[in-house]
Amino acid sequence: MEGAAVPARGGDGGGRAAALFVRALLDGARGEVPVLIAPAGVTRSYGDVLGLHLPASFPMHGQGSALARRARFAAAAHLAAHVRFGDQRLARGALRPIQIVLVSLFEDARVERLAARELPGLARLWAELHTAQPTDLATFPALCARLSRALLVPSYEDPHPIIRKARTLFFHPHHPLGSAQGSRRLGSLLGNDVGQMRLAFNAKDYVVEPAYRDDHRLLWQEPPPKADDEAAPLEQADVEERVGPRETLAPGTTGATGERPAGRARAATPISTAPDETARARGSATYPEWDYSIGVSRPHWCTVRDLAADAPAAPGDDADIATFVGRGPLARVTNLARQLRAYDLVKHRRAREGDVVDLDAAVGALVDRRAGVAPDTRVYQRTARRRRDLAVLLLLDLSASTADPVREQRVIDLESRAAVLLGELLAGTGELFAVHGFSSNGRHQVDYQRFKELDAPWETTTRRRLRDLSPRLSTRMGAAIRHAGRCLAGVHRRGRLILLLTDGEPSDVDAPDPSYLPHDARHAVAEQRRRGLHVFAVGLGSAAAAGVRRIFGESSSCVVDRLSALPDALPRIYARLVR
Amino acid sequence: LTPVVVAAPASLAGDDGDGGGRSGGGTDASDPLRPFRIGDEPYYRAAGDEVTLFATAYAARVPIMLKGPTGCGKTRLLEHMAWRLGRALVTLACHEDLTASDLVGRYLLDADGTRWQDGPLTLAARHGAICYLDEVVEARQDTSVVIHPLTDARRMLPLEKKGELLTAHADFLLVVSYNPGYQNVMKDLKPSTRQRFGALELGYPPADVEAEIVAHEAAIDAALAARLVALGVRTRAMKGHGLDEGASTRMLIHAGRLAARGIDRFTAARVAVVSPLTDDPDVGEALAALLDACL
Repeated sequence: MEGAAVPARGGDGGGRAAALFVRALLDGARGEVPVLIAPAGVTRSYGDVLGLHLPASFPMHGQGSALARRARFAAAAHLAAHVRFGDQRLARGALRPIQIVLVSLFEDARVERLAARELPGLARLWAELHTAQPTDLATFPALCARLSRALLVPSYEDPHPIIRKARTLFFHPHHPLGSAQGSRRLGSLLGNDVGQMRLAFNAKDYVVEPAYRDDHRLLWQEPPPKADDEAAPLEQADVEERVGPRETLAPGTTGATGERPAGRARAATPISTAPDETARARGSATYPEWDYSIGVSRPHWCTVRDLAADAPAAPGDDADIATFVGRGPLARVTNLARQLRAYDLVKHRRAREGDVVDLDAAVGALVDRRAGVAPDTRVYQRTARRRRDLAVLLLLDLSASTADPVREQRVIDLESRAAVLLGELLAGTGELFAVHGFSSNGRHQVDYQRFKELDAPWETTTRRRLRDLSPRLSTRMGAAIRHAGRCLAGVHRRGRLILLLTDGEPSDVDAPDPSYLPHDARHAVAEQRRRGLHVFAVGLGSAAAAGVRRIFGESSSCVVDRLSALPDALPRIYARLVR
Repeated sequence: LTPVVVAAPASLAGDDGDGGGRSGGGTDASDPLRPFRIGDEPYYRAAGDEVTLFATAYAARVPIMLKGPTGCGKTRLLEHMAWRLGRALVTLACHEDLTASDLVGRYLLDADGTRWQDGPLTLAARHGAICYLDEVVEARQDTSVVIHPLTDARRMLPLEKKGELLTAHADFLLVVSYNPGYQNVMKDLKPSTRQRFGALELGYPPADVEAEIVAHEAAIDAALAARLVALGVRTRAMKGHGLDEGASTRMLIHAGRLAARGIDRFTAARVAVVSPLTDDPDVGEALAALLDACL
């Protein structure tokens, strides 16, 4: 069902699959490693500070063929092996271009050998893509391709003396496999031999073969010269499509700046500076904030301003909403609502009337009669709809980072479609629910918008209001959670739930310490739980995973790793929570 | 109403601790627990000190909560311990419609009137078995309250309808299982229920131990078992990222069993591990590539 949500375009599904594959291969060994699809035109994969970049396609293996799909996994596994087993970046020093190529080749062979030792199937995956033959043209690149094959595939036979020598050295029991220094030694050694053969070699045009291998910029302290022409300009020209943990790069942070875009400077780059909204403020409340550094709650620290929801920008009717969320997802939500309602049917035992005799009660009545006691006449059982008896508050993170694009849409558009669909579900199951959103601009201005109040009907204008969500400013999560908790405080229901949608950790302009607001948010969550509220968070994108887990706990958070599927996923997450 | 105290015969005769094999009146035809006795030793490979802890908790009659993800060996540990301690094991899978009568018992009609039928909990408490409530969160909270008097110092079970106050047999112990990864707003254990138990946390065992378990249970060679475990461990890295849960030990054993019967290992792992785990095509593709890499 999830897969059908958004049709996979241009092989993006393969990118997500490759990202999951890398995650599983690394098994958490190197923390969060994003996997990205490089812009069209990049023919070799590479790793840099942003993550691992895979070519969009492998035309040499056919367009969309099974082999091309395997090549992408082979490339992903190869880069993962570098990440897993690469121990250092090498200095090029006085190495000549031929030696650099050979050192890289030995390093490829080394990490592949170590990876295949753990997971033997990887050797098969890679071996299939090696096609070099002893009969190939006698050029240096061709020799390299043969050598690569010889070092990976034991059964490959090649009489070339260089290859024999390389094999002997590489498979020697004393060859140190643990470090790239071993590769450096073999590469420079063999480079001398190859140099004497006077083979044709143009370092400018050299591209590594087979195509699944990376361009080695991850290995060398500065990129090898030939890589510059090929990938760098393209990389800066296009905005890459991110399929890894962070779905999309904000424009402007792309490119080899050499710096990880620390925290994306969420607070510092407001998309829309809030217009003067005091006119719309309906009231404000102050809340304490927990300062973990001194272990004290600062009283009346944050001011939450209650804003009336924006008036819908454009009129429209229900048909627009169906177009907005998509007919497929809407039908699925209707179906889900029906399932939930069916689940609500419960048996009422010991009923005065009903369609079936309650056996226990009937027997009890017989026993009583025989004992000479007046029997209880409530001996029937009937099936009735149970009220789930919930109050749900959907709380949307409207901070500026939700303007980040995911393919053609912004995160916030996905959030708003998800909110509308969840609203349809909650309305369909007859739940008491509210939809609120928050953003902040320092502690004195935490804006809280109420798109739908608990007691308000779910109507076309509400849906339109949600359709027209706009991102703004920062994420002061703790204050918003406290305010949401207050909204649910007077509500008498068996279960009260705050369901928070957020794309990351809280942050704000006046909180330079990145741990400060997360600590406060965790405090705010604990306060609500003490009051008997359930607080559950849905993280938007894998990058949000660690943050939401820390703040909300393992059992009260989950992550939607493929954001484009969020509208479909949210109603199902809710259904799973309350079933 | 005078409570009828049925004090069970105290067979405390010194076999409190690790009995080291089955004991305790197994073959008697009149033994009401006969169907619940465990004949042969259920295989269990301990990954930590859980066997000792369980045995000690049993000796001290501390009710036990087994916590852990699905298919990690909670039920098997319990079967093994029941066998080891020489106790019958009465298991009940909890569900939403479970009523207190389902646990405690009810009157049934027969030719001359009615007859009382002990429920599983009563049966275990009366005759001294280990009573296992599997997935206890699935039961409604008001239902699980009936276990309260059995799990504190009183060790009693009031049979209200029968007018009997049953004192639990000295051998009786209540064990529940619980998957902490289960995310649900409607279902959780009340603190008053939770605090009656000592909790043993079971996770998936370390890779080498898990491989040993898979090899034993599926009757496959160690090399194939190690490969299946390598796959299982890596699917668990995808938990929360496309997968709700990684592959359980049980799944890996299923794959091994298929392979042991002549299905090639790739197909076996696809049928028993990859396909059951996900319907998402992307996740499926990643798992398929992972399967090829691991096997």
